[in-house]
Amino acid sequence: MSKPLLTATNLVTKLFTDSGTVQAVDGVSLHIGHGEAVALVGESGCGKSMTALSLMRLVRPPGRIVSGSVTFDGTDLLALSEREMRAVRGGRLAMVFQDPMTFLNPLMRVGEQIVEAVMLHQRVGRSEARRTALEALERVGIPAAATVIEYFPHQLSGGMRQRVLIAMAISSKPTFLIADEPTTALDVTIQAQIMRLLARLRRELSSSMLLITHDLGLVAEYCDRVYVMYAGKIVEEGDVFSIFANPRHPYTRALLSSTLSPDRRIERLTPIEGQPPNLVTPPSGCRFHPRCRERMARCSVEAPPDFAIAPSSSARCWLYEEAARVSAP
Amino acid sequence: MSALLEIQDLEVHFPVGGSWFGGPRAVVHAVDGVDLHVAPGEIVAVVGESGCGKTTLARSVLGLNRPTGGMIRFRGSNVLGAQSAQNMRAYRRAVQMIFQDPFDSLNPRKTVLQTLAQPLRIHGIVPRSEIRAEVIRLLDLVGLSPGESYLNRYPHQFSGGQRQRICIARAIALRPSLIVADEAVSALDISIRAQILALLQKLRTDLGLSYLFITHDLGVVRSFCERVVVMYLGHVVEEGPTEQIFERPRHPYTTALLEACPLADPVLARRRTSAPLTGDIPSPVAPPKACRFHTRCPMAQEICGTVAPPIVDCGNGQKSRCHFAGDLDRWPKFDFSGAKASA
Repeated sequence: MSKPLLTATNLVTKLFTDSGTVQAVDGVSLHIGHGEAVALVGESGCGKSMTALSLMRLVRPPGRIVSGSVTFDGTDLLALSEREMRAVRGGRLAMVFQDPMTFLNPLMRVGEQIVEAVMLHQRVGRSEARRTALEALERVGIPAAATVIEYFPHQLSGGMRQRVLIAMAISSKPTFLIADEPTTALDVTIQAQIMRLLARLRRELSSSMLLITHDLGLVAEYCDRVYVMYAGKIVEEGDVFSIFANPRHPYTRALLSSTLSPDRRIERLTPIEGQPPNLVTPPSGCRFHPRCRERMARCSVEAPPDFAIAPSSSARCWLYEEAARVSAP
Repeated sequence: MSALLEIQDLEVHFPVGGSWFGGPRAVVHAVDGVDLHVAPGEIVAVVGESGCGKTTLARSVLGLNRPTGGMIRFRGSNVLGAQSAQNMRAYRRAVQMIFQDPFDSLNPRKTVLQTLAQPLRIHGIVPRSEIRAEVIRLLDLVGLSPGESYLNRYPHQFSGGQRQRICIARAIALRPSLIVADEAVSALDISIRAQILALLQKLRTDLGLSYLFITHDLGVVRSFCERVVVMYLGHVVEEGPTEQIFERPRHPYTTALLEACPLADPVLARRRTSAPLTGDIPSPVAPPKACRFHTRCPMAQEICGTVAPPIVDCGNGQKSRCHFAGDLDRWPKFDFSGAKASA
C-alpha cells in the first residue's frame, strides 16, 4: 500500500472546562489514503467533530491538542507555525461544515468571500481570483453562477449556501476534504444532491474525503472505509462492506440494529439501554461496558487495546483478543 | 366511518410580508385542501420536506393555528367551529403533543414534579392527594424509574433522550387517545432514537394510543408507521399503507424521496443509479400552478403544468395526486436496488 495522505497517531485533545477536563479525543489513530472516502461515524459527544477540528488544527480554547501527531502529505501539521498552517488549511486541506450560515459572512457577497479565499491561497490578482470563483460556483452546480456571485448569503436557500461553501472549499483544488455533517441541516432531496456533488468533485479532483457523520446511511452510500467512534476512542475500523455485513464491536452492532433504513421494516426495535457517558469521568475499563450486551468481568477493569482482526480491520474489544492472536504474523 | 381524527379539505393560509404602510401582502399556502384520517390505535406518518405544510397541519390539529377553511372532526364532532367550552376541553385532553426539541418544550424553571402535576391538577385527572403518586407512575411508564428519584430535578439535569421521556410523560398524563408527534425523534442520536421509538410502540399497545407522526425520516416511517401521507407544498400527493407506499409508490415525488434516502446497506446503495431531483423546493408563497411538483418532476408532461391532477384511487387504500398514477405502463416498478423494470 502506498503511503497514506493523512495520518493521525495517538491524537489526544482535551477540553479544559470549569466543570472538569473533557477527554474528547483520547488516543485516536487513523489514516486516509489518496483518493479514499473515509467515514468517521458516531453519536453526539463521541468526539468525532473534535477529531476533525484537531486534524485541521482548529481546536479553540478551552480545548487543546495535548499530544499525538498529524501527518499530511509528509508534513507534520502539529509542528507547523500558525502562519504555515494557514497556508495548508483551506488550501490543500479544506473543510466543509454542517451549518453554512455560520461560516458565511452575512454582510459580504458570496463571490467576494470566495475571491478572498482564492487570493489568500493562490497568489493571483483579483480578476483572476474572480474567474476562479465563478468557475468553482459553476462546478458545484449553481445555476446562473454569474448572478449568484453577487448575492448575499441570505438570498440563497440552505442547499445553495452549502454549495457556496463547497465551492469555496474546492476553489483551491484541495487534495483532502473534511466534511463535517455537511448535509445534516438539509432536506433529503437536497442532501442527495450535495452528497453526489461531493462524490463527483472528489473524483474530478482525485482528492480524499473524511466524512464526519452520525448517519450510517450516508456512510454506506458514499464511503469506502469506516472508523466507528465511541466516547473519545475509535472502537472499530473496517471497509464499508465488512462493517455493515459483519460488524465486530458490540457498539457497532448496536448502532446498526438501531438504524432504521427505508429499505426494510423492523417489527421490534431492540435498542441499547443507557446513554453515552460524559467524558469528564468516563467509565473505567472499556468505555462501552455499562451498555454492552456482551460484557465480561474484565471489561469494567481493563481497557481493551485495538485488536487487529484482518488487514485494515480492527476492533477495540476483548472479544477479539483470540482472533487477533491467530491473525498476527 | 369510525375514524378517530378526520380532516377534510383543510386549508391554512398565512398572510406574510407587506409593508407597515399597508402594502400588498403575500399569502403562504401552507396547507391547501388536505384530507387525512387516523383510525383508533393507528400510527399515521405525515412525511415531506421543509415547507410542505406538515408542521402547519400538526399545529392545526392541536388548535395552535386557525385554519382558513375545511373541517377537523374528532370522534365525529367538529372541533373548528363554534362549540361548547366543555367539548373543547375534552378535545384538548384527548389530543396531546410531543415536539422535536425537548430542550425548548420544557420550562427550565419547573421541576419534573411541577411540570407533570400541572396538567393533572388542571384537568382533575386524579384527586390532589394522589398527584404525586400519579407522577411517579407516569415516570415509571416512560422508563424513568424509580420515579421518585427524578421528581425534584430540573430539565437541565437531564439528557436529551430523558427530556423527551419527560415530554412523553406529560403527553400521556391526560390519558389521551391521539398524540401528535412533530419530528419527535429527529433531534435524537441513533441509539436514543431507537429507545424512544420502542417506548412509543409500547405505550401505544399498553394505552391504546394513536399517533399522527410528523417526520422527514423515511427509515423511521417504514419501521414505525402503518400508513403514510406524503405532502409536497401544501398538498397531499400520495397516501396509503406503509408497505405499499415503499414497495410501489405511485407518485413521482414519493419515488424521488425514497431514492434520495440514504440506505444503510452498502451493497444496495451502490446499485442505485437514479439521479437525484434537481432544483430547490419552490416557495409556498408562489407554488407552481397545476401540479405543484411539475417543475421538478422527471416524468412531467405538458398537461402537468396546465391541469391540476385529481386524486386517483390506486386500490387497497392507496391514492395519488398524479395524472399518470393509473397509467401502469408508464409507471416504473420501484425497487431500492435501483434495478427498474416495467410493471
